[in-house]
Amino acid sequence: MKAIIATTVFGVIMMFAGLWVNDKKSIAGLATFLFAALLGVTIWDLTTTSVNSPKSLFNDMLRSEHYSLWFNTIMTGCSLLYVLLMGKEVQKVGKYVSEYFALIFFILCGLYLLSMYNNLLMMFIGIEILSIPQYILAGSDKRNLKSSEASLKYFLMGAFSTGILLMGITLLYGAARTFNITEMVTLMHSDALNPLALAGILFIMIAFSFKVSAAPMHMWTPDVYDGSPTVFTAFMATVVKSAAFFAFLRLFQVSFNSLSEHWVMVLAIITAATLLVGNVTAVFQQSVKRMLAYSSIAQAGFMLFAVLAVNAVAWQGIIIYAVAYSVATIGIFAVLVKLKDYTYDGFNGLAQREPLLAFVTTIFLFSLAGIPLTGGFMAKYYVLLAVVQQGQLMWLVIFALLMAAISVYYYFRVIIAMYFKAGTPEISSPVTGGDKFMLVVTCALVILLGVLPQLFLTKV
Amino acid sequence: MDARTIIFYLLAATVIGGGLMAVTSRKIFRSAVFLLFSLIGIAGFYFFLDQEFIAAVQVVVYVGGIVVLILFSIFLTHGSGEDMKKPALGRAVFSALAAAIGCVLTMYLISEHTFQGSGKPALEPSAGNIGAQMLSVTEYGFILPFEVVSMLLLAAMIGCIVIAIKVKVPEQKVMPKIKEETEPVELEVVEELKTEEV
Repeated sequence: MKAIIATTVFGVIMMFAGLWVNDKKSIAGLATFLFAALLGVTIWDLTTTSVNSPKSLFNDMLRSEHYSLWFNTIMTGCSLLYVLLMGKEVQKVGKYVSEYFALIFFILCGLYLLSMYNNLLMMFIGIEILSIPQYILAGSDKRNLKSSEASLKYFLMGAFSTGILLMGITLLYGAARTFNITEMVTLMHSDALNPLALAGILFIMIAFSFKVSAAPMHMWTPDVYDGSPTVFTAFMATVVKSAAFFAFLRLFQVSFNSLSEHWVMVLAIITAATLLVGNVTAVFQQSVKRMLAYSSIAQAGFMLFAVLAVNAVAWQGIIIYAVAYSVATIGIFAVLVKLKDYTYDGFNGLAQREPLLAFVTTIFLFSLAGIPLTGGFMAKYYVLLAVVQQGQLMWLVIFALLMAAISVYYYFRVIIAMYFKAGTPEISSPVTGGDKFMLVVTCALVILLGVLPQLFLTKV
Repeated sequence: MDARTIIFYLLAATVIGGGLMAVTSRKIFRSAVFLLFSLIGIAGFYFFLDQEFIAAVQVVVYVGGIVVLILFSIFLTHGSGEDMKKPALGRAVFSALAAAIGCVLTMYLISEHTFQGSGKPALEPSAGNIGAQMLSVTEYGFILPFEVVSMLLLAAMIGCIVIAIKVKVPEQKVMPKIKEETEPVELEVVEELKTEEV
């Protein structure tokens, strides 16, 4: 709860900073400081809440479970990492730097609501708080037509999926007679299951698939991720997506767990489609930024495994996947913003010009591809383990492994371009010592995740 | 057929007819006006169900606020008087099909299965009670969502300002160009929706 209040206050502080501070650099510095403070607040929240008895807040509107608070802390950590790596780049997008940071704070407020909600109403508001600032960030580079297109597309698609979500909530409320997701379980089982509840679940599933860009509701993703300013794509594709996944998992784990026989197959097909579309289309991309957009769809396919597995390992899986994927992707985007040319050719010869940049990018790509000793491997291991423990859907696990093998192809294309092709990559902004230090820290985090994943696990 | 049934069907016809005309009309201004009828029809339904407060809110917020804002933004955009481009046949067929399937599915579900009441005593839906519930921290109090929604509005407000504020030199030159490159229909929608958020 303290974290929610803190994000609000910090967001407002950022807005006023725009009024009083004219220097972009000091605004970014202030934002970094506030993100660090926010991390402190989330840790405070985490340590002051007892592990075994979740606190119910405001008539059970929110429930501060231990794993929710842990997720909040980790995601705030990722946001801090993001600001440290890319705070400088945010200044280049446009004039309204303080507003951009304020919007990022508001997104984090939505994230906290989504990780703790215990009421469909809060879930809905959380999703909206998470989405609306993103529409604006996507269109923040107003001189660029692609950015405006991304914003428009994202907004229309987002509004559309919100409509479907509301329809689902309505049907579910009608059938369960409550918005409370824990009470809903008992009410739905007290008498014969109302088919309207199943329709509601289906609608909510479709709406969430939109938000997490699962196929066949992924159409907006490549254009939006490609068109948005690269700095904001990095945030959207990582922290925000993880938050949507956590909300997805929370609802389906807490409320619809016992009804899983009814929806698991639909979600399994969505997962298979997501893996297939994401990985196969990524192979044909010429731009690394667009490839990363498709790769984020493919990664979403893996994260869906956590939702599919209705057991405790799923929580571990989603948290470790979220952090491994976010850290590696933020790292790659931090390298990408330094380059002028986003095509594969733009990476040609990077190893000669900036050996360190090439090296950390290689580690990040290893992680995304799921090579052992990196975070991505452990993440994939945990989400697949969750499903394997469930004892069904083995075909899907095997299919996922096959798809992971395909993903190696397009991730390694970047590595090949960097190390084995000659060229002079154009660097748009100088790589300072601070940048290098942060990239090495990020890289160390990725490896730490792969070697000691238990540091990031929590009691469920 | 008693008067209630007749009124119900009249309202339903207004809502559905208005909605259909809003999406099929070629002129964006007319679409907005038809939307107005549709929303008034929904307000009528709330009156019909004796939910006077919600009906009043519907009229004040949607009819009086949002549609008027939409009309304003249409006036402020270029080419609002022109006919919109006809959508491609394939697209029209598929969207009609999708809408029809969704409609039939929900209609079938709702007609086959009914919602049951919770058995708890209902509160009088007066403005006083609604206000008290919204701001109360006791059971069924909605103070937290009420407060959190203000965050949402703040974010939307900042967004509107960031998007609407003028960037000095290049934007004026770029704007007309967009029209040629992308479909003009979509461009008009964005302005309209962005204003709606305020």
